[in-house]
Amino acid sequence: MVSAPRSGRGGRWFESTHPDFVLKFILSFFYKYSTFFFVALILLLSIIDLLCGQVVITFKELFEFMIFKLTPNSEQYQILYNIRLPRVINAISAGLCLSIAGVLMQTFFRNPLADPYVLGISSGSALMMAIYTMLFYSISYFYDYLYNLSVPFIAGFGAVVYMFFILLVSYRIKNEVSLLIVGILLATLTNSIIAIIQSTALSDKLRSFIIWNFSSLSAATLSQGLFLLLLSLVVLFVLYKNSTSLDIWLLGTEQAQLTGLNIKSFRIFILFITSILIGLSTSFYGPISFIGLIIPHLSRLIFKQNIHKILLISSALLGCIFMLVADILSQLFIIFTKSQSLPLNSIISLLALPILVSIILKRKELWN
Amino acid sequence: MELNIFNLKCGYKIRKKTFIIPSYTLNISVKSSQLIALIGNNGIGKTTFLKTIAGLQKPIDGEIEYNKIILNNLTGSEVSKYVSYLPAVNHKVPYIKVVDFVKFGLYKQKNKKEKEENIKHILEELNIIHKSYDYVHQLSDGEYQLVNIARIFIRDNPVVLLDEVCSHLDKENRELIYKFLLKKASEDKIIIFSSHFYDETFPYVHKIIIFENNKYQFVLPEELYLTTDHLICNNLLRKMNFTKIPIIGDGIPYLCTCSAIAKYNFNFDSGFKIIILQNNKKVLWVIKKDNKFVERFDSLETLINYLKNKNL
Repeated sequence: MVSAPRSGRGGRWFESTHPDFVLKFILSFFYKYSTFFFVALILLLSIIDLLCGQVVITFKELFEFMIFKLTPNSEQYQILYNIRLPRVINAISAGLCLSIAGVLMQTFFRNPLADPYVLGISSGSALMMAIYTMLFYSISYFYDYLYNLSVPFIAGFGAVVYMFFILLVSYRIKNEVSLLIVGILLATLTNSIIAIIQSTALSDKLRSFIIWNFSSLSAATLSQGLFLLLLSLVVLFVLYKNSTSLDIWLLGTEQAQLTGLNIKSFRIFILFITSILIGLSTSFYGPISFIGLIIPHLSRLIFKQNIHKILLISSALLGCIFMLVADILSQLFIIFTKSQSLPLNSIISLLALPILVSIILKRKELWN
Repeated sequence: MELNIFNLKCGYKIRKKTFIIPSYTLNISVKSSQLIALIGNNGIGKTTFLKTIAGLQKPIDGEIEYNKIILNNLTGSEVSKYVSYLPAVNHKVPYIKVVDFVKFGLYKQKNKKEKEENIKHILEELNIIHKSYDYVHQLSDGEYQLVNIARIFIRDNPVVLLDEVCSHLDKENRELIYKFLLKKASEDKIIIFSSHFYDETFPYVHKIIIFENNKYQFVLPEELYLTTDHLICNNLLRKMNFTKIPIIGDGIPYLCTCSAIAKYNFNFDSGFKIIILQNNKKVLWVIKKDNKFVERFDSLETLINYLKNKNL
């Protein structure tokens, strides 16, 4: 009989990699309660984010707002309800939605560099949006409600089309880096088409498109944000229940099939969910870069797990935290420099840089 | 419980051209609780055959039937209830622990909870229990192969196909695997594995399937030794033909002497011969010229050295 492992790299991973007892204890505590810790952090960051902005709002007013005691006609209430709360909800839902989409795409293509932005799928949404807003929008110009309703479908359709194209290419090109280059080429090509459309568009339509393309969290309404948040949570729940099928997909298509996974329905299911998530978030917030790429890697760096039960939940929570931090930083930037606004993408890219570098340095270990 | 293969033609189609590999129709019927080795040269179609049974490839013609269920009419995920298949090359999935990795095999299985207790047992049997909480991507290739075998066998399918099961494994682990497979086969399973270490597998397997260029055979492994014109013995035989000196003897010492001498290009004058004498497990080599005693050796090495120096 072989005795239970004690020495070497046996046991739980943190027991072995960290010989320091105190650190070990802290880490084990952290891993055990990480979900609560992250949720608490999200709540804390949301409160900080609610306080950030050009108009000063005190703790007391915020507390009153939260227990519905603030008078609805006051200036603070209007600002909190109409500007800050939608922004916070949108930050959370965008982070949740995009990080789930990122996990799904990295698993689906079995490619650590896959991401809606990098593979050019969000530029598909952007193209459809450009065509819709700048060429056809005049048809429904007077029906703002109809416009809001139709945008998710239009952007989602663009995402679906590009997703299928990338999927077709991925059958031909097995090499992950080549697929990436195809995605980048696709994005560049799409951007040039968008530029052509822009050059012919009327100025007011052009303006609305460019603002959309800058990607900001304040464009979407509270109901849109809540809808996406709810949808993402439902998707997260469904994926959590089926997380083993995602794990098995990592073994390769043939092995997945022989382990009992229905390949066809799985493919359609994942493509459908990912396209909807990307399409909706892109239509609401514009093409937000890098979140889908770095958040799953951040989760792998912290938890060192590719089991989707852990990866999905931790990525979703980390995505929320990341977006909230990015939003707080951009608000602080606006407060201190007294500038008009700051494109969210630039803050996210700057925050993503160190994580990206560490991914590139560790890439060999991440995937074969 | 029987796995029956009727008139099976495996292969693939590329642009309306059909390539049939192996190039003949197969009719094989395997009873349960048998361990079977699949033998053949590279490119003869072993993997294609195994993949066709596993439902990863459609057969060009013919039927595969298990327990009166025709497997090639089922969808991929339905076949997976009966057949497990381990490919020759498995990519490592990063950041997954061995225990979790083995647990993947239990996907959509009945009484999953009960079977989870078997994971420890199966890892113990394969002698990798000390790696159970390691990451899969940190294992060596051989250890990863063992973990994959554990993952296949935790899934309790009656037909198990293993392609190049011994790849990356050292001799000790190969022996371990043969014993393990034999034990698993006795639990009412059909296990077919392809291997290039065929002479090693003969003490363990019940039957072997041999793919040759124009025909296939489905025989007992021992029969191969008896019918010496077979490809398995070809290597030894070919070398024997090239020895220019007559060697008189029989049994294993004879084969060993032939193969040892055949490695060198000795030039022999006519009239020389080597006689092998066996007595109470002791072997003696005697060189004679024209029936006259020349030299006597009590080990093969001294004989070879003598021949080298002399260069008769």
